[in-house]
Amino acid sequence: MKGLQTAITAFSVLAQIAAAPAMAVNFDTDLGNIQVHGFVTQTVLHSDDNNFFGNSEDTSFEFYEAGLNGLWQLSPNLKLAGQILARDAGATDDGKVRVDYAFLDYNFWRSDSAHAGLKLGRLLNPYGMYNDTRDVVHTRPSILLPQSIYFDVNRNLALSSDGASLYYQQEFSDGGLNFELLSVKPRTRDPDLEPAIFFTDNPGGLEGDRSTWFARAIYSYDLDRVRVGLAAGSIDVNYEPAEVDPIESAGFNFKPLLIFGQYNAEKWSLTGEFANRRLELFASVLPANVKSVGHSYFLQYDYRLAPAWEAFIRYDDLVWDKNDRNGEQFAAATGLPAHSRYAKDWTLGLRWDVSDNFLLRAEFHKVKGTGWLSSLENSNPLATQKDWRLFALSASYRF
Amino acid sequence: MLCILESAVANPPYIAVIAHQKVDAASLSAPRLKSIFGMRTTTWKDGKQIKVFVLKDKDPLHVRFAKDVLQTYPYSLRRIWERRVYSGTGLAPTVVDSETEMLKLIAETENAIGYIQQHNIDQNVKVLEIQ
Repeated sequence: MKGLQTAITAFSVLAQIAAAPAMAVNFDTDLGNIQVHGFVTQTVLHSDDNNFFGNSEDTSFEFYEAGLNGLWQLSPNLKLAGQILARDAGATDDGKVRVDYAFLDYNFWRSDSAHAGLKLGRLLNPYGMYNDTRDVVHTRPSILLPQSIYFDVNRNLALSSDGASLYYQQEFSDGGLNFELLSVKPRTRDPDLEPAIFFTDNPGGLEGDRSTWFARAIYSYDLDRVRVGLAAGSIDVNYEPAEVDPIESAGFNFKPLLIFGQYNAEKWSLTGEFANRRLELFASVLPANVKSVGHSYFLQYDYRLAPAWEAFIRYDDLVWDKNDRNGEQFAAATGLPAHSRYAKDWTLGLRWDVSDNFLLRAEFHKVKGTGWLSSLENSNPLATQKDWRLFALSASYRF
Repeated sequence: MLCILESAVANPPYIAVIAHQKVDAASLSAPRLKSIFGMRTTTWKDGKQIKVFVLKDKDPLHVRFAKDVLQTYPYSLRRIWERRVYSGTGLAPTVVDSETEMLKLIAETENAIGYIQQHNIDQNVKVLEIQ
């Protein structure tokens, strides 16, 4: 009987979505409250040199995101949440529908000012300030996330992973603290992940290891007037050799440490994040493990010009190896361009919330370095340009 | 008559926080009210799921409620709610079109909370004192 009820509930939810609502689909059932939200964004990109998300030198329309998101509050302590997404991003994504996250959330302990719970399933990685909602343009600080911290070439790996998490939330008289700890197996189905790590495409495949963990603490003061956080993790991915493969074993370990903060005033916001990224590669064909420590940071200032209009300026800086900031040692050792080891990106952007549901955005990037470009889209590294510019325009609808 | 008009112009109508009649609370602390509209506190003392109702972001009463009562900004609340919704953390408040609709839904929905101008209160809802 419960099964039939569930089926009827599911059917009526689908029927309501089909009726093209202007707002969230929200309704009560005998089995709890359900909310469904959705979003779709199409972005156009044009660059004077180098390709980003498609053949942007000739203007690219190959960047879209469409998602459907549902939350089923079965009881005050139990909920199911999920999101499916179709995303294309030039050669770095394929437009296929995938499950971004799908988990059961059980709130097993509650006091007057705190609660704790357990999540099981495909979980969002608690990575920095924006990872949790990185595909929804309405919630992003710009069309393209600051690439030094939120590399889009390995989005699936960065976004979510499969396993379990414990969370704890504490309320204070003037704010609140959230803490989350995950033990998971990373997702490794990004077309560009292998070339980005190993510089080559190999016959085998990459597989996430269960030893991976993430942790994050966020303190929010006075309804996000001030928001600060600390996040860390250790991500293990192994190479699974093909039947005939010169590489017997390989893999990498990635340890990011992030510090972030935001101040929100009535007319303006100031946001910054810094990441220390420790990467260690090992492969049976290499004489020794390759270790490097990279640095990333950005600082963004938003100004609310008028109701529905917002402008921002941002500086975003990526260095792949802190001991070789200008990439010259790398260039001398490999013959590849030094500018592929860093990226300094000045961005100016504008946001217009045309209505509650419809959003237009435009932004201009002036970049020195190609550190976050995809090798799939810029197949000859020697042909890339050190100084380049990128313009992006996006239209989004959400409910 | 003139005197009443003058005082109405000088002091915009007081905003009252209202709840369903059966809600197990007579008053709320200001921090608790912020936490409820920030969707961090999600249950009443008796463990029942709180149902939050708000007017549209641009509605002048919502703007005043956000600024004067919660001491924040509509854009900040919107960001907090969007982050919850799109990360699967929890439900967002239900948005209503008018004070009439707000009053009707609060009266009809168990565990509901919302706000309204004081002169629009009727006997079907409970007024929560904010301390």
